[in-house]
Amino acid sequence: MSKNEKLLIYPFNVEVMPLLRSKKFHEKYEDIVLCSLKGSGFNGKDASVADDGEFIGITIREDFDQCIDECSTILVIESQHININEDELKKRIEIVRNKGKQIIDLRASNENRSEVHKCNSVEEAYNIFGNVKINITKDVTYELSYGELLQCEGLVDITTPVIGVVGTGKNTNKFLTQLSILQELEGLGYKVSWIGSNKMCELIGGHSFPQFMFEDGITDTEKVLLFNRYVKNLEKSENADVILIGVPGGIMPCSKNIIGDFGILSYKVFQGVNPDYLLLSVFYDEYRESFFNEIKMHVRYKFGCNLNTVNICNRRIDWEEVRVLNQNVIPYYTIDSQNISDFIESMKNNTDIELVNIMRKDESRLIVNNIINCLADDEPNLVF
Amino acid sequence: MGKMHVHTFDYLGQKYIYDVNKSAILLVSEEAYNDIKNKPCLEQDNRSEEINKLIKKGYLSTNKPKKILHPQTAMVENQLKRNLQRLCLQVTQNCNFRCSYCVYSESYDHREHTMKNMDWDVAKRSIDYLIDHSIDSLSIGIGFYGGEPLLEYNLIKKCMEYASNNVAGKMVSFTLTTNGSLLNEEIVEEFLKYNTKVTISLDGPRHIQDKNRVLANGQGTFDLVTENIRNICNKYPEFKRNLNYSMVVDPRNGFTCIENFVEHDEELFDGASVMSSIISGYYRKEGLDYTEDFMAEWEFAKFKYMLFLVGKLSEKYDSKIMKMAFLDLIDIMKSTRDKYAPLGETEHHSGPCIPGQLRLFITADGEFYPCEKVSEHSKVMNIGNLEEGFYYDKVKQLLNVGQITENECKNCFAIRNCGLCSMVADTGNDNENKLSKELKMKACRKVRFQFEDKLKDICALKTCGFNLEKFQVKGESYE
Ligand code: SF4
Repeated sequence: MSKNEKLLIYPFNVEVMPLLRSKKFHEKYEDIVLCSLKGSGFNGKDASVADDGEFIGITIREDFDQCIDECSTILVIESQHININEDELKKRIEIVRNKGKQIIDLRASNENRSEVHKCNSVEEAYNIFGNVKINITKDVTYELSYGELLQCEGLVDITTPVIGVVGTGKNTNKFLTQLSILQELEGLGYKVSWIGSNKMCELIGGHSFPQFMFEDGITDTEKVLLFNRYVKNLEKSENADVILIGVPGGIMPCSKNIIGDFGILSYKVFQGVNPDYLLLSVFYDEYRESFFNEIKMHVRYKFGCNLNTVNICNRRIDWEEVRVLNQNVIPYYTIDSQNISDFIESMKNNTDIELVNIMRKDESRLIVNNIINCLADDEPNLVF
Repeated sequence: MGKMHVHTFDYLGQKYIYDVNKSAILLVSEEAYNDIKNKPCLEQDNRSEEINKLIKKGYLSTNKPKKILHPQTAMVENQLKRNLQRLCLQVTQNCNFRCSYCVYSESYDHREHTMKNMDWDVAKRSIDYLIDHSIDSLSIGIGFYGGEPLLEYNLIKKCMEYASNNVAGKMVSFTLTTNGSLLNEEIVEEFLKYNTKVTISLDGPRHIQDKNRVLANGQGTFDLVTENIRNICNKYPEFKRNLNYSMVVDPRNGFTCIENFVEHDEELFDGASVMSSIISGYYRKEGLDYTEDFMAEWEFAKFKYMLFLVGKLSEKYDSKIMKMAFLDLIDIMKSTRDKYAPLGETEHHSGPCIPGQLRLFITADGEFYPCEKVSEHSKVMNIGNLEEGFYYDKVKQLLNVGQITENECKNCFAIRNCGLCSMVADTGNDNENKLSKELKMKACRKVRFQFEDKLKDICALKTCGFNLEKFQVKGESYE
């Protein structure tokens, strides 16, 4: 797509905001039209209404037919937070296709492809999982005769510094945090390999979280080992200064009703790769000081690493609705970023974990400074 | 020296301590009970081993809140700008019944029957207001309320059509509260199409319904309503799933006959749910008296139901009405099992929700009230309108109703299970712009009394081996 073609993002929702706030994305797609589903409450408002952050300058619309006529490409978004009528959406995509427009569909399982991977050696396994196959879907089957081989070899060392970004659940601004860190590091001249927590990262040069971590038919032990090899492969092929890994979902259940995957995915990831710097994004709440120390301990004993920074997301779980809905989507409401900053200020001297608010201007600089300080060799005299 | 934050009570010869910070009930020896009752200050010498053990485990703490402030106060603007959940539209103030206790009839101060109907412009703007202020909500709801809302069926239909056509991407649900007389086939078909949940107000068997719920000419309404519903349910059996009966129990009547009616009239009640409540005393000119007969029947029904819960009586004694009454109790039992953090420095009693967020009541004139239960003549309860939006300061004032009884709340053992909201402190007066402490204190006395009663019921159930997991609502485990 050339830069002066118009891109339609549909159905617009808050999940898109990190892209809209990213320079990298705007470098690629300059002319953007946003169209939301009817009744979202966004119509006629600036896109910033979605995350309550700084002004964006693009007005959200609901007139889909008009929007599509104006654009040459449509980016179809996957959303946890909206209840999409699949049939309706398919019909619309069909209309778009018939109009000869280009379609980038980011929704999961949008293709029914089946592949069988046979491999007999670790080398072959590297070859498959070393290549990032973003289109691998759920029905891919693996024949893992290399499983035992991997187990014999165990874990390999990742020597490039790894930055991990995790959250206490979905929608905690992990993706925005990764993007901000990425851009800041790149701005300083570092080369970054990025495994993103959201598929949208592919649009700006990141690697989607490897699909094999979600497949049936691979044991957890194999997943840990494969993830380890996958990162090793990325290290070898991209030769970056730092590897940034965003893990989808949450590191623990939020409550008895909001369980996510109980943090199992993140557990597997950090058994495979030990992060040198870890940032955790949490929903806002009126946490007591002890919360941050407890969560630090939790991370240390669960993942075996240090928790360096906590980002307080400008969303708060709506516990009233959790009670009513009783389903595994986290109902939340967005709060003023100033509330977060005030909270951080009030906690300043009470915890030794760095608290940040990614919605605040220039916060990513602060985070990256912390990262650099942490990763810098602070024992220059040490030989071995 | 602080006093332990506990409440002592004895029941069936046993001595109990309710520990507020732990939200736990303790069974203690008579000696310990008397010691705690007579020497409530923690720092005392010569405590028995039993008490020292409890103290060591973190019970009997003196911790009390220092300030009363609702934790959602700082969130009011965020919630009302982005997270409205449901509207309740007063589509008409008119009604075809003249129920003696209806909030619109003469025995209450706060509403009168007038001919005022909501026009489409107000209804449409209300729905647009909801859409505009529910960006973060996963689902939204619209309720239709009256008077008798079905007198304005065409407006209701237009509203459902409009909301369904204009909201994609989140669930929209519809509810309606009606006296049931005007439901007809056309309406039911439309309601089935939109999956509208219908609550029918019915008081009980004929002699009770006809006593209070009458037509303008004084004629009873039992036959009119029940025949209508029976016919509809015969033709549309699937509609029963959407039916809910609301029974306003009049304490001047007996209770057993109502219970028998609900349990035995399968044609009406099977497959539908029943919510019962006692006639609201708020805003009423004369107080409501509970007759001794009523109390005796109520207690007996409760006793039978408790025997059923602990497995001493058969399924036959399962009661829809009692089940609803016990939901509250089960909630308390569940919460006492959870690990509670001790009370914080800043607290507010449970009860108030953010006024307007969960079920914003919009009058035919487009004025905002916290919900349909409050008086629309009350100045203090008027929290905004379609033109000006919410009056945030007033919302916060209502949310913080605990502040008018600040000292009482700080020391109250019912603070975690209070359930009072600003409605109880509302005089319903159209000149009064503040809440009444006197009214609130009256309600407090009742709350504390009822809470102690619930604690006793819990003790009785526990002693008889009640199994919480067995408590089921609508065939599902309560949990
Ligand atoms: S009963 Fe009254 S004093 Fe006790 S918590 Fe409730 S409002 Fe406060």
